[in-house]
Amino acid sequence: MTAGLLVTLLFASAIVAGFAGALTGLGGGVVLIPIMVLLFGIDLRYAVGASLIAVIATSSGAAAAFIKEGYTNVRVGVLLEVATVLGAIAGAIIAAYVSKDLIAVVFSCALFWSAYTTLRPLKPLPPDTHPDRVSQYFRLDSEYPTKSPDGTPTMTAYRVHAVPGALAIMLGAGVLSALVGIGSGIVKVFAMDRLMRLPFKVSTTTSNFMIGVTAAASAGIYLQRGQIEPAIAAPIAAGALGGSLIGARVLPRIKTLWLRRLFAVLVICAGIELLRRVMQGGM
Amino acid sequence: MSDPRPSPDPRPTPPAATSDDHAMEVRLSKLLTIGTTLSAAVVLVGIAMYLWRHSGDRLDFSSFRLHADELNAPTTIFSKALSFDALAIMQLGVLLLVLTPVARVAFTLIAFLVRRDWMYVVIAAIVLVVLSLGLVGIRMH
Repeated sequence: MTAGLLVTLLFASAIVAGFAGALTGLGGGVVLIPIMVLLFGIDLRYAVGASLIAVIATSSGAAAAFIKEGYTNVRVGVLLEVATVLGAIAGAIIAAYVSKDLIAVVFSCALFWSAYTTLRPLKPLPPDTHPDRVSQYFRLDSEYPTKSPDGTPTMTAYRVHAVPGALAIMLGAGVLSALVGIGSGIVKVFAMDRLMRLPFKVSTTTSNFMIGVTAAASAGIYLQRGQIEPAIAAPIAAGALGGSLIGARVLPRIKTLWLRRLFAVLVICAGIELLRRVMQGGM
Repeated sequence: MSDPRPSPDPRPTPPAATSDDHAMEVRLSKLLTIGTTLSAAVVLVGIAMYLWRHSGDRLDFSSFRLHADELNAPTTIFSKALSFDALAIMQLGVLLLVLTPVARVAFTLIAFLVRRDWMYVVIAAIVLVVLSLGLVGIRMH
């Protein structure tokens, strides 16, 4: 493939990945890696490095808008980040002692299950729910932009629940992402949505806020190993930034149900990609 | 617990921290905009320079081989970019992008420090330390 064509194709794919990644809080790597490997014939090691860059681009690109508009719960993000980065270290340490294939197969089954449950939203907690003590201690309760029934924008308050459980799951998410390389965003959204009972848009935007940090933590190692190839990573970065800005414009307008559907589709893609890598011996 | 008697108020009123947090969030948002704009500008300049000369070159990344070592370390990327090497400029833009989350965590740390929010100072500091270790490229296995 000529350089001009490859750069153009990578740029265009990254726009789509950045768009979907910003909306769902997943970063878009799960879309990009199969495209790069299967369609463009790029070695998995380059693809993984470039997808890491796409995740950072999507995260930083969209977060500016999401924070300003009040979707992102920055305190929840900072608090949960500490658990994911510690989990990532633990994962890197135990990686030498466990079977990645087995973990990947189990995890991909968990992904299919979570795609299924995401489409079945939990009933919102009644607004008079008693405040959670841990959440009060960390001052996590907040509000986010919604539309009132007559269509005017308003802020809706919400409470945050089950913080210790979510921290434990975040540790697990860090370990998993260090072991199998994908899926940390999925676990984040899932924990915030199902366990902490955050509004779905708060869950996806707060996950989007966090994944950049998770990805940046391992970027140094990938750079050192030569997996960040500029001819691939640069157009991916530019495209993902552009796509994430479009995603940030769309998020306030999109219905939560459609967001959940898009999320479920990407989660299924991630599960398939994991299984594909196991079968090809690429774990 | 900082508050031994949790408020019995049953309505989810926005907590007092929200308005205070909002000013910080606006600055945080600006920081991210500046970081991503800067990195996008450098990346695009690099891509334009690269395509100007090499758009017809045949590229094959189907197997992994190490490219020039200078593209794998921040200091050499920078010096090579200064000599107008297109690939190095692209890599520099990518590097700037990788640094935006780091700058973001450092900013939240300072913001919590200024507001004497010690619990979050500790949390942000741990994240920053781990993040820096990862960036320096400490191999953990």
